[in-house]
Amino acid sequence: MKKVNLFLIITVVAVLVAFLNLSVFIYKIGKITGHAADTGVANLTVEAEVNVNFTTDSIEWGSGKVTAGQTSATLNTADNSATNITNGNWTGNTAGLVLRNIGNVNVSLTLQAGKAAAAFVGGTSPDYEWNISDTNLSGSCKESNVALGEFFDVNSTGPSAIICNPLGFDNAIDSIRIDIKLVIPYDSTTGVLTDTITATATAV
Amino acid sequence: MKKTGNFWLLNFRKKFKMKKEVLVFIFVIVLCSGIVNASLGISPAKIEINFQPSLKQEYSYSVNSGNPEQKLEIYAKGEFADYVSFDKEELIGGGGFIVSLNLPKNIEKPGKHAIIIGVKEKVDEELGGGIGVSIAVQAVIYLNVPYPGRYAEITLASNNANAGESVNFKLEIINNGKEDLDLSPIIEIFSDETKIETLYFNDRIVKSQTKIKLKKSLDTLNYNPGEYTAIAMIDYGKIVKAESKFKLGELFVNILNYSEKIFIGGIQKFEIQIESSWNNGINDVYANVSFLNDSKILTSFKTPPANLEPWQKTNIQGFFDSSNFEKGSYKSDITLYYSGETSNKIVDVKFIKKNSKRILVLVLIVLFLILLLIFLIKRYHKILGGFLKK
Repeated sequence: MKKVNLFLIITVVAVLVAFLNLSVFIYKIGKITGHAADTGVANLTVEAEVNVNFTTDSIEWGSGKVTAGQTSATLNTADNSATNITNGNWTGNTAGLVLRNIGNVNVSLTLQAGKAAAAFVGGTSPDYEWNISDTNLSGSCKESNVALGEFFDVNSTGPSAIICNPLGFDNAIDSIRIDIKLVIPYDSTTGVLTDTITATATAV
Repeated sequence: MKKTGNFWLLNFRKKFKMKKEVLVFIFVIVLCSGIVNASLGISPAKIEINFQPSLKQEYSYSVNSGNPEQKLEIYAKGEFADYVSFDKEELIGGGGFIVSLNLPKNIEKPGKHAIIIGVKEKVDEELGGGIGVSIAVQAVIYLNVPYPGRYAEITLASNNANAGESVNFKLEIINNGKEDLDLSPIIEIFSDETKIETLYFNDRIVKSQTKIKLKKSLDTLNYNPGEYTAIAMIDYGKIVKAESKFKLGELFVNILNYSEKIFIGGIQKFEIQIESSWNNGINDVYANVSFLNDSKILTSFKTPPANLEPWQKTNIQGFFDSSNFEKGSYKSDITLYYSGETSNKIVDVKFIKKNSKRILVLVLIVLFLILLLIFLIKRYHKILGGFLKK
């Protein structure tokens, strides 16, 4: 019986303390409207970036020579057949350079070779051409000042010729391929020859 | 270097006992990764600012390079490149740099001008050989120089809808002049040359070198399906207009074209070109095609169902046996079925015989002519040869 009374007293005290706590809480917040509403603003900035990547940045032909008795050899990365190398013993290569827009803005793209055929290869009637093509069926290059899919002399359109405007950044349509064709005459310059193709991407 | 090259060439000739005229040269074409770097990026890509006299402002740029050892050169280009300077001229493997813009008190030439902020890979010509690649990336600072007095540009955009639905217009007004503009923009709706309705915006003050974007909705309950032109207009002493075309659709698929000639014999293809006039997709569109002789149905077939995107024009096709047809013209009843609706056209289709015999005769004639030509050339050579000997 005594135990029951003790529990009853404890329960009554607990309820009183709870009521007191609730009263203090109501007093402190002043007024309860029954409904609270507010708005928050999530603020963030996504920066735009121009970023391009040569996903295929090398073409290995190795070293070789023009076949004896022939006036020139031709090396062509766009040619997928056995005639990729004609009149020479370089190692055939069908991998063109591939440039991808990996940024989050469209870019206009220009290409410039450091040297023309005469300065690069030398000899009688050398040739140094490139062929720019979409690597995607739907068309990465929206507009171009050059004929896509055709070989023409590097720099023949001038250093400011726009290759793609714009080159999109949508992952499905954001890359172009640059194939190279070299005609090396029998009397070409010998030794290690160097040239650099510069791709310039400008935000549009 | 030259001496070494000649010495090497001399040894090469001796070794292979080569004659001068058949001399072959070794040409090394190695695309050397030593002068190649995978990627390069610059951020922010674009900054647009309004001209303020003697404005001094700094902008932070970050550069990402695929090669942490790559030397990078920072540069500025453009008509107003002289107004920017950098806290550094070069980076290695990426990083950040500050562009300080220091504008003059006045720029005479109004309009939008671009200052190029570029970063390019420095190529070490002594490294490697062959063809290498390098990358340059260019961000742009657009500088808006206000036109003297009042000058504004506007753009208008709209969307296609189905008749009865709302068409939403977005009008942007850019005040590129030195004076504020008090404007009452309107949009006029035209069907061909006829003005249907005018939408009015509230009067607005557009401050110099600011832009506002306004919205307006057009209720098309009383509009017929078809193509319309919206022309937005502002008047600040000079009237400036912008145009946007929009279409109001109806649930209708039109039969545009069909196969006009069919060969007699075997299974033949019949193509129908159709076009949706609906602003939503239409699924399971198919045609039932019947060929009639007077009013009697000779044969009929169904095309497989096709799904149409809004306003899409496409070809659907079916196959049928044309063996029982005779040369001549037949009526064809083409009925399209879609979303509980139908479109119908009765057209004339010609059934023709394949001219395989004619082609064979033609080939034989050509072959005969070629043989005759060869014979005559040989004979002519013999006669000419006899004359020359004499």
